[in-house]
Amino acid sequence: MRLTLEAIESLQAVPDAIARLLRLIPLVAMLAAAITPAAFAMESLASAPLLLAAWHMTSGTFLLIFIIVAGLTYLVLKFHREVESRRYAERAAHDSRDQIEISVAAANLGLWDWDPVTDTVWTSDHCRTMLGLTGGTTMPREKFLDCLQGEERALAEARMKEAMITGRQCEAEYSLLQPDGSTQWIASRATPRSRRGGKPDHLLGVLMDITSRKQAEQEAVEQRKQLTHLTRVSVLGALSGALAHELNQPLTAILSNAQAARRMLSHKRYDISEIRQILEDIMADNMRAGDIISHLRSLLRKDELARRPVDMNQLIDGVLAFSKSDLVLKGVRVTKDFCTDCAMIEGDPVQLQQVLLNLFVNAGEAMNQMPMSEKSLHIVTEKTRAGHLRVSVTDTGEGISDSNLQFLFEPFHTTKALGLGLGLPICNWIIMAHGGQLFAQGNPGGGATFSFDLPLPIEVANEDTESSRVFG
Amino acid sequence: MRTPSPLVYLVDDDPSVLRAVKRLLTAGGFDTKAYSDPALFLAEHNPATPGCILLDMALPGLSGIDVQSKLAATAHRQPVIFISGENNVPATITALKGGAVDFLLKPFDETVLLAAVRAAIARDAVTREEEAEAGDIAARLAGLTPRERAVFARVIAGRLNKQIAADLQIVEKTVKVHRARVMKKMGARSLAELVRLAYKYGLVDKEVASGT
Ligand SMILES: Nc1ncnc2c1ncn2[C@@H]1O[C@H](COP(=O)(O)OP(=O)(O)O)[C@@H](O)[C@H]1O
Ligand SMILES: [Mg+2]
Repeated sequence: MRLTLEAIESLQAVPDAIARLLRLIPLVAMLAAAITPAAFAMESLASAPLLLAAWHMTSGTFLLIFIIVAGLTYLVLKFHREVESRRYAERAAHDSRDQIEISVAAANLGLWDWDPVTDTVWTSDHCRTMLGLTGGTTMPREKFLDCLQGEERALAEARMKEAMITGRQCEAEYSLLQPDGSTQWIASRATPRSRRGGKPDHLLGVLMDITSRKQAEQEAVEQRKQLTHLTRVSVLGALSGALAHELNQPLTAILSNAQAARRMLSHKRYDISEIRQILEDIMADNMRAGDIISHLRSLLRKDELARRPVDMNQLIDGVLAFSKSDLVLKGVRVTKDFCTDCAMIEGDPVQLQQVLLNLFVNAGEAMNQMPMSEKSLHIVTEKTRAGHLRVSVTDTGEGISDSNLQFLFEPFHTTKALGLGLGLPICNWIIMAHGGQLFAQGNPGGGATFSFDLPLPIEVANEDTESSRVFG
Repeated sequence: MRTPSPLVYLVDDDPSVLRAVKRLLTAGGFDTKAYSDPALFLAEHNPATPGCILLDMALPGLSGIDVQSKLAATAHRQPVIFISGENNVPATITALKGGAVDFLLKPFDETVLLAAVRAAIARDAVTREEEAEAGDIAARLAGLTPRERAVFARVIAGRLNKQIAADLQIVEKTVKVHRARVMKKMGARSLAELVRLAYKYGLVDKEVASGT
């Protein structure tokens, strides 16, 4: 292909040179008439003998011959120089293309160039290696696209066409199935170009292998999932005592009820309605134990973000009930101030429960050193001016120092001997994934407030009425 | 005076546990009064009633330990058995230091529960009996004349009649008369019994000190 291109271009150079030659004739005539042989000597050493002859001659015929010969000599030389410089430029262009190819290959990039007229694609060596293509540098587009499957192939075709029509650069990522079953990821950037100015007539593309970046991304997602899981487990670890308590209550009731009933039956004089009531109670407690277990299971599951309508007030009450015995054991007084008509949001109830649980556990831990009478937890739900639902959790614990405040959301930052420092970063991540924001502040009178804002449905967000509140 | 039958106070904030354990105690033959509110229990609890108290560790508002220390401030007598859903060592130590007689981990078997309650009630009965006897002895002691009291102090200190007579500058015969009256008033049939009573109720040091 390069050869043909060169040939065409050197042919194009011939008429160019003739046009210039015709334009030069009057100029040369003027110069000759002024008889400044020095100028000719400067133009070309080859004209020197002719100039010497001219010095001795006066005849008008000779002058005419001289002008013609000098002009022709000049033109031949000029034409020769023109061709030389063209060749030089060609070679330079060729060299720089090679150089680009070498450097792009070194940067692990592949080059391709689609010519829509011939519907062929020129490819660099590295490009073919990347795509697993065999054969020569230039191939029909059909063959070039063979490395893509199904939908991706159709998409690539459409994108190439669109880029040519709009003249805009296009970027895309493709996954290639490797013979060994693994997936290779390729990022492609294609730029429509024009060889002669004007409308684009070919599409120049750069390919980059982004498999390792993709793998790192997937690993990060996987790692985050595992971290979420890990904190859940650690939060549950902190609650395990309370959880055992929570499960022990129904189990204690069931055992005592059953043993009481057995004793009653052995006494011969018993009230059958009392026995019936005992059986009812046993069933209810069994259900209760089951609920606790399923709650535990849902917290431990590694699930993705689901979106469902969630009543934040109910969610808070649920988590409070779940962590009740932990708070009770610590002697924490819990107060609530709930907004009644702005608590419905869209979100993942399990993940939001996890956020609440983390904030409650942190608050409880921050109040460990306080006397029982001073331990209190205040939970508020309200609508902000910006039309968000704000949930605030205020404790009367040790508060947050300025130096601690700036690192709170950093993973693994903890001030606790047995802390993991993952609770808040994960809360932050979950809230952000819900399109919200998490805030922390130390309170002037001591203690800390952690709050988060979540977007409300548009109708609710736009209502500007003061939301009604309940106090509890 | 007929002693009232023992009563088991049961305090647990979980209504279904409260109901079930009350049923079990009743079926086990114990009169039981159940409270889900620790404050109400403290208000209604009668320290004069024999029996015991079953106290849940994790209570809303007041913890089991708080209830125990509030009880200690009153003239309460009943032994306290703690019941708890978790094996919390520091809380257990505090509870035992505060005088708890037992610590049951939920869920507990009826035999464990009933045995613990039975033992606590028996213990309470012994304490009450001893306290009654102590009160009785104190009353008898108050019935002695100053001179008899002086003789009593010397008798339990192991001094002979002759020495006592010299101490008090009275004749030995008078000492014998006082001594017989002390024995009678204190309800002791022998010298050995008199000394035992004196030791049991801590009268030895007190009386010896005051008598000399
Ligand atoms: N309610 C709070 N009051 C004071 N400090 C807090 C509170 N919640 C969190 N912190 C601080 O933020 C740090 C990080 O919290 P977190 O991410 O939950 O990790 P961890 O609880 O494992 O320490 C804690 O170690 C503590 O210093
Ligand atoms: Mg934490």
